[in-house]
Parts: sequence; structure tokens; C-alpha cells
Amino acid sequence: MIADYVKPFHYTIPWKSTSVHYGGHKGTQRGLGDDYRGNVSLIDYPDAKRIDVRASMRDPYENIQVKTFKQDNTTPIYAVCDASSSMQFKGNKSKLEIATEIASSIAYSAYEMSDIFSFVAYHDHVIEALTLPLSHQVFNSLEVISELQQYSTKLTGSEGITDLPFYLGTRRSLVFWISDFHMPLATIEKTLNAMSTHQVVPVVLWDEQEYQKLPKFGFGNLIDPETGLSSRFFFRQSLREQFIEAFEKRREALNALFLKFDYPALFVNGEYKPESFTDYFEENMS
Amino acid sequence: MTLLNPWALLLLPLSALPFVLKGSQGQLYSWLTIAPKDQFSKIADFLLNLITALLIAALVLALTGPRGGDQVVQKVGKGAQTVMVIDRSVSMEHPFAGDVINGQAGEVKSAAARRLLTDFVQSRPDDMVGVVAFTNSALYGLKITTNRDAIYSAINAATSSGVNQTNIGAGVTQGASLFDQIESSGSRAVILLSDGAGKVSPRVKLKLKKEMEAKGLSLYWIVLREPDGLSIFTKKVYTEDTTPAPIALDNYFKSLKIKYKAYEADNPTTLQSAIQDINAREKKTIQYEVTIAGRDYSTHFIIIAGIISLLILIAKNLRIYQ
Repeated sequence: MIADYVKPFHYTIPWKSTSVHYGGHKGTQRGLGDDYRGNVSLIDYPDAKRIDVRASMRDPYENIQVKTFKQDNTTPIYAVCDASSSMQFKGNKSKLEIATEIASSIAYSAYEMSDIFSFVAYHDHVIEALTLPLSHQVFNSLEVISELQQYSTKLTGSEGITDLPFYLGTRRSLVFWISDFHMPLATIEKTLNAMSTHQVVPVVLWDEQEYQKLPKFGFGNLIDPETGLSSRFFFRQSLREQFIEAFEKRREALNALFLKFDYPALFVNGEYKPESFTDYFEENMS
Repeated sequence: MTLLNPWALLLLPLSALPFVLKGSQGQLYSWLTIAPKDQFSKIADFLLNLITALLIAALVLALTGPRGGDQVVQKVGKGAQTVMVIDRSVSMEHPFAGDVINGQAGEVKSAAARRLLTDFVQSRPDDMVGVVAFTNSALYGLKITTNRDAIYSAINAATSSGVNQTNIGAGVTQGASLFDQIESSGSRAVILLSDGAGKVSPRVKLKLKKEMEAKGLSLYWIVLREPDGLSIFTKKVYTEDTTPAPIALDNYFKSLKIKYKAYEADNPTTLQSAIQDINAREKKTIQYEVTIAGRDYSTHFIIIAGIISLLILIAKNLRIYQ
């Protein structure tokens, strides 16, 4: 039984997969497919069905030529999810719930594309209980991911991200990094450097309650669940504008950083929409 | 200004708590580092902490129970320290002697006594009054006090009927002893209200004589005459053995070296005039001290704490979203 929140989207990868398995993405492997690879002699590739008559006629050496194609192959898909305390922030939905929806949808989309999928969750270290090896077992993945939405820790940061590259394969993969990216830019940069073999899709989970829908007037005590610090604010219109401005600046800084690695960011504001993911791949990866 | 519980001051450092402890109540926020540094919020936060500290301080101060010193007020009154010694024998429930003559059922003696004595007390707001009732023995009613409500209640209680005996000696002795507990104001009187008299033993007579003379008490005896009773003002001369009890008692009182006057009332009007006469006689200025308890300031602190709590509740919960 697949949960309601699993809403698959369509994705493509911008490189040729080196996998040997038959899948849904363009690969480098010769085989059955419709991506023209080149002509070889019939002796090298004895496949009479694919004799290229026109090329054979034009060959001055009268070799009989056969068309070869590239096979569509699989590619590894990773969903990396931040499970630090800050992800428990709750607007209309908690960020972990949205992350669960997104990760499940990625798992299911990978299954539909017959790609292999792996899931890694981390807070101040990688959480082994919420980590899966690459596999085709979508139901197992969905079950493990669904545990994420109840996951709750206190005073855990997101330092585990620096260990993450070791959990990824060596083959070029599509890595969805689902996080609120509330961590120092230096950490993000270091991680992206370590993951530069892969194509990373930074999925930035923000919520409008974080900055656009703060109170217009009144006292509010904001508690940072990662550090345990709290700060009391006297909210008013000008302070709200300062919050919005801070978040806009942050968005610009994140965008600039991600674009340095040619990983355009995908901002998810309070709600997961599969169309926005499909559009993202249309825009950036085709 | 004194503190009832000075040990509570030890709790005063608790008022630093708002500055030391951080509230765990609030909204979980994803990342405080990104939040803008807002000076105004810092000041507002400090003020809120200060108010909370004030709240705790006010509660602690309320616990210490601060109160002003006792005040001793000199009161000057006109009138006397009076002890009413009231007969509550069954015969007090009968109508006055005079009423039988004109054939009308008149006011009963005890009711008239109650009414007139209450009026008497009412007309002398500065008097201090004590009450003793008696039948076969004395019944302590009220110490000598200025508390009007207590006096009225005591008079009410003393004018209900008891058993059919009249032990005047015990009543007057008890009445005289009430003066032991209070400083003399110069004018002290015992009003003895009875209908008839019993015999008083020589031992009691001696004791009474000593006490009354030593304390300088005035004695007013109002005799409510029974229909067939004889008047104490009779001109008849009796021999020592045959003297009726009231006359013997009257003679005994006269023999004391005190201010004494007897009245005879056979209807409410004469009773009233007797009491008015006493009223006119006891008009010396008296001075006495009243201790007024110091003001209790803890209520003020609790009210302040209440107002502050209300402010904090509003400040913490008033939030306007768009």
C-alpha cells in the first residue's frame, strides 16, 4: 500500500549513465536503445537486423556496416535528508513531514524509472537506522522513510552532513539533498566539494511561517532546538521586514553558492508539489 | 513598620530568576542565527524580565507580612464605666405591677428592660459597658467594653428568662469583679436591675462592702416592683427580724460608703425616668486608650503582584498575526 503523500514526478539526468543495467536513462553501454552510437562492421557486431544498407552501399571498402545504439541504463538516486532538530519546525506541516513526502516521492519516482534508490538521514551524525543501501526495493524504502516524520531529537545539529559523502557510491549519481540549509555556508561548500562527482539537487525546505508570517505585534520567545538558545523578540512590522530581508539575503547567498557548483537550488515553501520537481528537471537538466 | 515573617526575605534573591533562567516556553524556531539583531527587542525583553522580577519581589514582600506599628489612641468620652447587673428570674417575664391596675396587658418587665437599657447604651456612645445576668447564680455576660454590637447582644441575652430565683449577692459580686480587669476612668457604676430581692448572707455582704468601697463604685438599684410586692420606700418601720428582704438590702446598700441611689419602677415610664436619672448623674469625662492594629501592607503587595501578573499575561499572550 502506497501512502497518499507519495506523488511521483518525472526526472532526467544530464549525463550518460555508465551502468550496465537496463534502465530509463541514456547510457554509454552499447545495446538495445534508440540513441545512435555509430556504425561498426558486421563482423564486429553480427546483428543482421541492424545492417545499415545505405552506409554499406557507400562504403568504398564494401564492408557491411551495422548500426549500433546505446542502451538506456539505470542511475543511482540518493535522497539525503536532514533530520536535525531544526527540521522539526512546524508551520502548517512540520518540515520533517514535508521531507518525508519528498523523499518517498523520490523513492517512488526512482522505482518507476527502474533506478536504484538509497536513502540517508543525518543529524549530528548519519543515522544508520534511517539509512538504506542502494536497491530496487521501493516498499522497504517507503517504510523506512515513513519513520522519518515521527523522528524527534533535541539539541542535534546538522554536522553529520560532512560524513555523508562516504555513504554515496563512486558512480555519478543524482543526489537530492533535502534540508532547510540552516547551517554555515562553509559547511555546505565543503560538503558540495566532497560530493562534486554527483549531481546534487539541493531541496531547500523553508516555511513562510519562518519569516513571512511572523506576528505583526507582540512578544514571542523563539527557541532554537539545535542549540537550545532562546531569544525573546518584540515583534512588529519593521522587525518582520528585517526577518524577510534576512531570509532573502540568505536565499541569494545559497543560490550563489549552489550555482558555483552548477547545482541550481529547488526551494520548497511549506508544501511539496510534484509539478515543481518535474519543472525543475525540465528547466535545468534536459 | 515591622515584618511578621522576616525569614521570607531569604527568598528575595529568587527575583533574579527571570534574568538567570531562560524560558522554555515559546515557539521552536529553525535557526536563531539568521534572526536579525534587534536592539528594541532586547530592551523590551529586559523590561519584561524586570517586571517578572518585580512580580517575584512583590510576592516575597507580601510573604514577609509587612505591617505598620500599632497605634495607641487616647479616647475621651463622657460617661461611665457601667456594669449592668440584670435579673433574669422568671418573674421578669411578668407585666409591670402598675399595668394590672388599669386592666391592660402591658409590656413585660424583661422586654421593657431590654428596650430601655439598649436605648440607654445607645444614648451614651462613649460609655464602656459590661453585662452580668443572674438568677440563682451570676452569669457572666460581657466584659467592660465599648463594642456596641457586643453590648446589645449581651443585653439581649441577659434579659431572657431563667429560673425562679434571685441571688442578688452573686450578681453584684460578679458585676463588681468585672472592674478588676480594667483601669479606672474615674466614673464607675453598677446598675442593678431586679424585681425583688433575696437575702444576702453576711459573708457576701462583707465581701461586697470591701469591694465596692475599695473600687469606689456607684450603685444604682432599679427595683421593678411586683404587683403585690411592697415598696422599698415604705414609711413602715420594721424590727430587725421582720424586715422584708428588699428593705433590708436597701438598708445594707445605704450603709455602704459609696454613692448609692435606689429607684422603684412599676411601669416602663418610671423605669425610663430612673434610667434617665442615672444617665444625668454619670456624666464625667473619662479617658481611655484604644490600641489600633497596624496596617497590613501585604495586601498592597499582593494587589501589585496581581496587576503585574495580568500585565505579563497580556504581554506574553497578546500576539497579532495578520
